[in-house]
Amino acid sequence: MNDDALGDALQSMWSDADPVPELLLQAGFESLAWRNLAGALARLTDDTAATGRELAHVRGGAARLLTFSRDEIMVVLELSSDDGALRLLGQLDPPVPADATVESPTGMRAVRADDRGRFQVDGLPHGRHRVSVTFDDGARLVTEWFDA
Amino acid sequence: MTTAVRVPGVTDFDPATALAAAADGDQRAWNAIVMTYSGLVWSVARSFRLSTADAGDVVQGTWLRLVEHLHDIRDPDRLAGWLATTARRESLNLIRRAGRDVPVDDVDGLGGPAAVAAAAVDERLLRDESQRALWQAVSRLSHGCQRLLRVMFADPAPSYETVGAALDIPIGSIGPTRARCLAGLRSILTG
Repeated sequence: MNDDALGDALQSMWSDADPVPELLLQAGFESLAWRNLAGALARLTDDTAATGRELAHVRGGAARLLTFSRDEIMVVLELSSDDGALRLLGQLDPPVPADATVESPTGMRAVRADDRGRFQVDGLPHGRHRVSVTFDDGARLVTEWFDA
Repeated sequence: MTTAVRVPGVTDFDPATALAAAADGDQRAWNAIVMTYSGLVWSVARSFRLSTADAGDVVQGTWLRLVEHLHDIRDPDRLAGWLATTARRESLNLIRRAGRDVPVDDVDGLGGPAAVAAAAVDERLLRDESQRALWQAVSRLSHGCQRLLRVMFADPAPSYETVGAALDIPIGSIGPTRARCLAGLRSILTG
């Protein structure tokens, strides 16, 4: 068999024996529903887990800090494990009150950030999340998806 | 080099047009993107020997990333490469989170997990004896070769540029590595 014939045989083999699961295609189609309609995307600019830094002072185990930025606004999330679930402490910078929603493909939790721009959500399932923030002047932003 | 994309029922697929339409909420355009590139994204995840569930998570994460970046893909003609890169990063993140090692296979200069986490094909679905022989030969190749071949011969076959993005290797090294991996495969098959 020459290289091309061997390549064709490999492609057939994987098409037959390792196809893309049908349910996964369906989930792919449905992911368009997560299109970010109104908010501006805040990008991940720092992740202590990616650099091996850990915050050992947090009770219940090491925490991870994620920093998202958009224009002059920052959203800092401190993630820690609490009894098997995920605890999320958020800090808006500038520190102002706002509505915050933690979204995941399986549900969402809405909270209010206090006058110092802090919010907390306990008992989150581990998995993929993002946080959308609506400020009191109507401005919105949403973080990139993160896994925790 | 561009990827020749042919999907049943989707004619004249153009990434730039599809991205712009999907950004405006066009479900058909989005579905065409998903159908066109699912094989590629899946192959990248499976090249890391991720289980069906983990590979599914990588694929889903890759689509969510694309959805959030629909408006700002700078070079639509390189969408396949963007997806391959994203799927590779999602795979490595998942492996790291799971606390598995991601050692480098020095023989090939291709990174790849040494510890096999899952079978790379469903052996029950192999069609005949020649496919079973082919699969057994593939599974005796180095991990680097297995990764390269899995992505290279996804359906539809990606361009060298996309393979380079999927494996994080220089495009110039792909041809020689491909030839060497296929030669190794042939010698196992005939040996």
